[in-house]
Amino acid sequence: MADAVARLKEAVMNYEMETIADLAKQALKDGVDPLVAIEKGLAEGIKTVGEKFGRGEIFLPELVMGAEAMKAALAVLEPAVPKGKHRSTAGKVLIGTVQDDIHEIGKNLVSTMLASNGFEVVDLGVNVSGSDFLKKADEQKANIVAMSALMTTTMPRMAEVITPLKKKSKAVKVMVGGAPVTDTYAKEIGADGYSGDASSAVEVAKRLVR
Amino acid sequence: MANSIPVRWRREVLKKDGEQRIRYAALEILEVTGIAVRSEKAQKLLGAVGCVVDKKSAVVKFPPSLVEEMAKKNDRSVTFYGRTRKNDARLDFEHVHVCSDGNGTEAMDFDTRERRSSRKEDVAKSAFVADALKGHGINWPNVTSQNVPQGTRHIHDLQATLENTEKHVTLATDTTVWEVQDVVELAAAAVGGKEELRKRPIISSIHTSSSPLQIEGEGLDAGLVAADAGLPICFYVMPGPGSTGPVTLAGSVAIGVAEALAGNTIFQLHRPGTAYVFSCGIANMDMRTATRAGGGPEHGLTSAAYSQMAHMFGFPALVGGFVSTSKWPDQQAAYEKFASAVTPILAGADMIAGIGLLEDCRTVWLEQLVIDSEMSQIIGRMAQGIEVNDETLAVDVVNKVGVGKDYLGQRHTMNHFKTEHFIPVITDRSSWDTWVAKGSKSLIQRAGEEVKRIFKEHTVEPVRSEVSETATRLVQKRTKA
Repeated sequence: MADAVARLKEAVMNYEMETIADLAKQALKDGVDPLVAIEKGLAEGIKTVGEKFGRGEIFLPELVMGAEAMKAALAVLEPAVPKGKHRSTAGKVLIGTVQDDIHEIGKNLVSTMLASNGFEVVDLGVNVSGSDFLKKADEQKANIVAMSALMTTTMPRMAEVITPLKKKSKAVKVMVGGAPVTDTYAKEIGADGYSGDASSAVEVAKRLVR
Repeated sequence: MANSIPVRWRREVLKKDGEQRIRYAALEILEVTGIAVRSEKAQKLLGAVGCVVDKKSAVVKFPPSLVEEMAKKNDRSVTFYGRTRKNDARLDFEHVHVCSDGNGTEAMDFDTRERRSSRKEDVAKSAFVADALKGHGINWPNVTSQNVPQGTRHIHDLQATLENTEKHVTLATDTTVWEVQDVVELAAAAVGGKEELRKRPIISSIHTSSSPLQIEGEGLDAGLVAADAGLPICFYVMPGPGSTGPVTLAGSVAIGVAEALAGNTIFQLHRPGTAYVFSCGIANMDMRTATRAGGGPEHGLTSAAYSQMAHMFGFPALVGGFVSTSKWPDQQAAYEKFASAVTPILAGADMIAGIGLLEDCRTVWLEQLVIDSEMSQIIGRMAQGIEVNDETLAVDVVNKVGVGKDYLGQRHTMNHFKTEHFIPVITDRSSWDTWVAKGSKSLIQRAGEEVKRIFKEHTVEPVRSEVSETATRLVQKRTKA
């Protein structure tokens, strides 16, 4: 059993995204505890991948493929986790690109980076309306709401979410990013955190949930 | 094979007609004016095959047919062997090998930030740093040891280099017969004997003409001894357009080709099949300062043209590039070095000399080695051009990914990104805020950090202990004499 878990960890570290789902199925068949497989296998594997990326030893495609491998295995293992049990995470992040903006690579990278650092990420996709952000934040009980905007014309959408969100809950933190966004602008609109790239977004998120 | 640049996007600076005109101009110069060859040994060789030798002036006039016949005797499949096999540099006319450059006399001290006369430790450190660089393939010691007794520099230079790099070493401090004998003995100690050295010469020897149209006897005789030991010969010509050559680039290239052809004739007569490399650094004189305009746009052009001429005659080429007259690793250094390197690399020059120096090949900076290596890899990527085939067109992948999604998680991306994209070592592409958060470091600071990382993490396979013993013995011998 320990072997199967170690093998899952290795499969994430080797970016075996095409074949890892079969490994996960076999592990369940062999009676491996899905929660253990996730926490000791997948999460450990992606953590190692994320650390290597942070040190500049590997590159984005490798990080993303590691995350893809993790996702493929999660899709098999998560439904098998007994009701009422939850995997431990660094925090829950709700993420999306704001309304009228369909740019998502940056947002996806931040999702990947956060996921590879132990966060549970709920990705709302692109062109997410303010009301959707508010509704989902409430439903999902997210610790952090993360918004991305790639155009100067869509940046103000972030402020439109922050004001009502903060009114509703003092606990929820907001982080923003995207090419035209700056630290100064983030402070102006009342965001709790800003990051210029995907790697430093992790540090910001860790600081916000501390 | 050693770090090298495959040249797929080749840009020729001379048209076929231009090549032919330079060829005949060089042959005419050799036939009509000739070249002073101040070596009795060489004069004898040349006189015996029909050259007109004027004993008084030492001027030798060469029949064109002889010159072209001798050009065919050159070894056309030369390898500049490394001390370890993975560092072998095959001169196959398809790859560019970037060398460090070459016999500077000053060093910017990495620790004290003092510009001072170069020492043995600078030879050692620059060889060690260059050994770790991906944009570097062959070691021409960046500087020479000036803190050692007169008459022992060549020994110290080679010892320090052999001990700090596994790459091939090309040397220019062996300018007399006895100096060549010393370096052959020392290199032989590194490979287990003179016969081993002949099979796998891990060093080569640089000899020069003295433009316009002179070859000094002492250096030439030294070169002949190096050829006898089986070392490849790099024959370096440096006519300066407007000073020691015609102001026009074509004319100076022609004079350079004439000198190189004369040199080859002598070497092939002496020892047929000698590996002979056409080598040049043709930069004009700056007409305001009377200094050499190393790294100017003309420098890259002449290097490219000379490479093309070398290839036309069947020789590999070692030419100048990555040169700058700037005193600091600044913007001037960047644009001069880039301009003078991109032209010969795209022309397919077999070796470029080279990286690490400033002030027109005078002063070594360890940071500059790292910066130039980066530049070498950037131009290397350019020279590889764009490959078009089913795999690179990736239509299958495009159809699989579809509309609006990204390619980061594709196996195709993983398989190709490291070869299809240049991966920076010190180039900073992060956002302003990240750059500030990491200390707002300049290029020189980032290069300096890479130097420190290399000193901490890089290793060089130890050289045989005979090297240090032989060096000590040779130094004692030369100090007594």
